[in-house]
Amino acid sequence: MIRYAIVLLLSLLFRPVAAQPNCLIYQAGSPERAACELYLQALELPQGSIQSQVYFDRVIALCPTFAEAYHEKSVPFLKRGDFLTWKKLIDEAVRLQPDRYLADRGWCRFKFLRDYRGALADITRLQQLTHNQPSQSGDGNYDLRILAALCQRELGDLRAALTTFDACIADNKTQDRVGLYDYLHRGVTKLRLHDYAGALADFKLQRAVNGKLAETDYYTALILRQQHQAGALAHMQSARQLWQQGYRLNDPYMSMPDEISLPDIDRFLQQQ
Amino acid sequence: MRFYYKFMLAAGLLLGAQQARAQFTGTWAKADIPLFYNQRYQVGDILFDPAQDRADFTLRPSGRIYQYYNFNTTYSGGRPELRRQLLAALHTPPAGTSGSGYLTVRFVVNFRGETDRFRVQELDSAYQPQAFAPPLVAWVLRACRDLQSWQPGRIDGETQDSYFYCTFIVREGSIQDVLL
Repeated sequence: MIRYAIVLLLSLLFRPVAAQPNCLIYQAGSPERAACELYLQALELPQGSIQSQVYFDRVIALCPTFAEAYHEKSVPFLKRGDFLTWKKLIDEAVRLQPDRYLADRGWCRFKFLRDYRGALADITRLQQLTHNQPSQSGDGNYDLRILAALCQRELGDLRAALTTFDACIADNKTQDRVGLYDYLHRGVTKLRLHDYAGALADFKLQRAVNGKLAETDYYTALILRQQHQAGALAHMQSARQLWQQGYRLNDPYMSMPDEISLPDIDRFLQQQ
Repeated sequence: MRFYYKFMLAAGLLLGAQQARAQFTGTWAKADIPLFYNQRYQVGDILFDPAQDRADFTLRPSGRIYQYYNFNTTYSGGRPELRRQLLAALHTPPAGTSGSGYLTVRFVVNFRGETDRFRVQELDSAYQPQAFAPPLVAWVLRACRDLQSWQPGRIDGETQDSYFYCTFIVREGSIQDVLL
């Protein structure tokens, strides 16, 4: 009986909930309060269902300045490739609450559309609003300053990217919260700048943060082969094994920066 | 064990009743929207169009078409390989193409790994609607239709139908990149 009570208690404690607003901050009887309560119900419905979209429309009709509804309504359009509708809705959310939704818009522009200029503009504006603490990407993997560095890198400014990487990593290192892939991306940036020793040092740091990652071994092997040093083949075989075991950059929606494929690895191995 | 299920069911009903009571008494705003959920209506659905879709394109009898990200519909070799193949196929654009922006091709990968129901969205670099030259769109569509190595996602070991899309970055009539 006690076991059932514990299970029940735990199931109550760990019920999956979306990030929900506190509706009690709005005055009882106000349109904001009504919109907020209806928004909570909308979150219960399957994302992308027409019914949930109708709920969000009702929320917006009740309170046209309720930014959460525009954002939540936009999400399935983004995930399903309707970038026209997504952009209209997320722009409205950003207009209403820039400090809250610039992060999301910047991250999505980077991830789904590789709109590096747009993403960098959003993150830069957010940095100005947040005293250079622009928070994390939507998936929690990246400090947005790391994303800014990746944007600079992809726009061709590798030196500026490296400066941004260095500042962000140094800042996060003092709080012991360097990201899961920060050293990998900085290492690849150094690789592109032909700083092979610097890149290898970063890959070593990456292994200390996240020991099992196919990409770390893959890029290490590229450098070792380029430098005619021993160990390239062993690293690439390790990359292949890790890739097949699922220890690799992987995201359900889109490719990630510096992600590799099995054919990339096999082409290298065939050339040995 | 049977008692456990009954107990959890009762707990669930109690919680549900609490929520319903909260709605009824106005703790939550009352919704006059019926709470049934029709799975057939979803954001991004592509309805069959006899003018452009194959009549013999087979789908699972349930009619449920999932999203690729629900259960990892992918391509042989993964997304980087799909990107490589598309870029190789779209190396030299047809004559007279121009325009820059995003060209998104959305389609269905059926449970057999075949594709159909292709639709496009054409945007400029500021996310506004625009029309690319028809030969450019036809050329990109042909490259997407020619892909043969789809791996449909599975649910309980059974392959299912799903939507997939590729977004092409167009720069002055050429394909600069494929976003996957």
